[in-house]
Amino acid sequence: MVLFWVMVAIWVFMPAFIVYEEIKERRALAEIEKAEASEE
Amino acid sequence: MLAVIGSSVAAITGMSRLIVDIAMYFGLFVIVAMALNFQYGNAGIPNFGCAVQVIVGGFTVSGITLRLAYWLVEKAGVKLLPYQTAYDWLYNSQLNVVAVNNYLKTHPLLGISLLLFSIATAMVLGAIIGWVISVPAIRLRATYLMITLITMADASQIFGRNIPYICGGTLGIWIPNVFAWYPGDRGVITAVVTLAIGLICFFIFRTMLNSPYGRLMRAIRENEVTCQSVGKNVVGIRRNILMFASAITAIPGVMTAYYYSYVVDAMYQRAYWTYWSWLMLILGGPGNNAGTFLGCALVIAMRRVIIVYKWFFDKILFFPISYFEQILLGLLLIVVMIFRPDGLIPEKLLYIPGVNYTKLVRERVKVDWRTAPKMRLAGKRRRFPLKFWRR
Amino acid sequence: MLLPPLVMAAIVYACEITILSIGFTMTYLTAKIPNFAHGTYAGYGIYVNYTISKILGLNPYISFPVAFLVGGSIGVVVYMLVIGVLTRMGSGAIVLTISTIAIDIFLTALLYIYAYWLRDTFKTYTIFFILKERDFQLGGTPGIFFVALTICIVTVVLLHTFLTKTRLGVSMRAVAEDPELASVLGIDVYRTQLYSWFLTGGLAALAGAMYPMWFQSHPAAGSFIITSIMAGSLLGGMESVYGAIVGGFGVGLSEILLTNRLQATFGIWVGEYRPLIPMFFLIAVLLIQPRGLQGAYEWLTKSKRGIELLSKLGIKVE
Repeated sequence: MVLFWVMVAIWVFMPAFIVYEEIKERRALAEIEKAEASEE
Repeated sequence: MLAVIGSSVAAITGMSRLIVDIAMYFGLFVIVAMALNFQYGNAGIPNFGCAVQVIVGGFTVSGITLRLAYWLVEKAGVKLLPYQTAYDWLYNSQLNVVAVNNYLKTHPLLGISLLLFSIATAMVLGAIIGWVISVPAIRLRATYLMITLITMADASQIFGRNIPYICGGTLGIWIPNVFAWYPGDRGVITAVVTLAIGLICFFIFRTMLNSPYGRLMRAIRENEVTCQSVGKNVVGIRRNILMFASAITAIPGVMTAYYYSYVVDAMYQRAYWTYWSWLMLILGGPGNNAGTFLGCALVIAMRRVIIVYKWFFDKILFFPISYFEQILLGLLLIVVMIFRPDGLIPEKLLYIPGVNYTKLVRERVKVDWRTAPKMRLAGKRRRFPLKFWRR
Repeated sequence: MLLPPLVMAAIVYACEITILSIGFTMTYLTAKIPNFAHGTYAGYGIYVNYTISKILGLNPYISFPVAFLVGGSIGVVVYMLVIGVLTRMGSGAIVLTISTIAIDIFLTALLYIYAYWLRDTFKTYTIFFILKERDFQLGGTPGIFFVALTICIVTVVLLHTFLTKTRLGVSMRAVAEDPELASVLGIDVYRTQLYSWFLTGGLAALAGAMYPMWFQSHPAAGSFIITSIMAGSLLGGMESVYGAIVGGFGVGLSEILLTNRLQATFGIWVGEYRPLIPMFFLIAVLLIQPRGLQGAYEWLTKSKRGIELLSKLGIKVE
């Protein structure tokens, strides 16, 4: 039964990590874009 | 007999069983889809031969690992029934596997090393297949390559069906349970191992895509001639990518064999492994790992739920539900390609800390598409297609 | 009996593959993509024949024009709803090819559902069947042998006249050469494409309607022979309809005759590997001469080494 929860944990961790990274990168890209716009 | 071979398959039942099943399939297909994303989404190689590599993984387990397991167990002093001729190989398969399972129960190290051995062999064979594929891939047009690869998938299935020494022909062959030492449910531990492999693969792919090599791959996808002109070996890079991705794609074949404890060629149909993985890739958005994961999760959840509740559908429908599933697959692919050409999560610009990538690549040029020449005739694939309803 | 049954079967099969290869090549010329759904149109032809001859109890040959119309309308619908839209969006060849695979899956599943519906409604075998017994006999020879040969020859002649003499045929060839230039000359590209998809779909379904008269049929029979079709077209070079005629006939004949020859030599087990023969043709053509017979012919007549080889054999080229 322990392994079942390990599986669920891995299963949840993968997408969560990807979503976290995706959001981080998108935010950084948006910031760059904003900085560029203010430069112009 | 079945209970012994399956070693408490039914320890987990009901809703948890469905969750384990979905997790297992998610793990299997996410590896295939990520490798596809690596090839098509990032390097622009349309590999329609995923089924070939997966089938190689399955055949490795049934043709090589199984023999090795028999041989090792016989060396250790367990009496096995004869398995040399084709008839014995098939007929004594169940009893032999039961004997091997009983031995593996007390020898966890042997089980683990068998698993690692089969994964390693499958990866080597997959890489060889990738190399074989890359020979025509470099010479042929993309559409011709697709034709060749699809027929190759069929051909490998025909060989598996007709040569009993590989995977028992049409009857299939039983596979020893390498997780026999684990007292609980076999499905769960297989799912955990598959998901862990998927996680490792994800990190490998992520690192590769963010490295200079990954940027080179995307550059080749965008403009091959330019890359050649700055002195990059495009042919060699393509071959490396195909070999690496093929090696990774062979792993799901191995894990499927261990999940079912059984190998038959029908498990590795091209409709199953190639088309569904392509649907996942296109649904989620090529060139983007997050999109691949989303597409994979959606498609797998939908399919497994349909399969598990089959009995319910069969009562109200006059045809087997699998055809409805195929209609769904075809329709989804077409609808996504027409209405969301970039997938649910479109590919974003590359983010490298400290580098203003936007400024480097994006020149703000205004193009009047009505007067511009058709991009289709300009020769290269357009990344951001025009929406046809905006014209 | 005019000929041994095996040879007749091979000729009927070769006629079907020829007609299908012509259509496949025409699609490749006009749309620049291999149409994986092309074999599935033949599946629809099979079931039009089955419905008319078995369910309605009419003469199976009545179904041939009906199959042509049904197949043609399927082709038109496919072009209008999917291929045309995707082409106008500017999708590349890869996306278009994937879309034809999706259409193939969709149409095959639809055909299976239709077959199951027929089975439920009329309580007969609908998944695996053969309509040989509905055929007429001509001096001990099944009629389909003559009909298939006649249809094949008539199709080739008519198509040749259509493509070279009529206005629509000439504009079709112009669109295949260069759509932009053709539209400048005042040709309605979209309508010409629709006509060509109607023609290819209709021809495929016509070939499909001939299939159950001799061979065992099931809903996926059409999509199974797509490999032979592609091998035939590739052997012909994928550049002209005339190459496809030679290539399709060659592949169709050799698939049955070669299997039989090999079975006589090596034993009956070779029969299982019959699908490998078109695959072998396909891969051999792609690796040796990707332009097929057309390319080989041009190599022989144009290149220096080819002319040398010919002169050694005693053939003179001007």
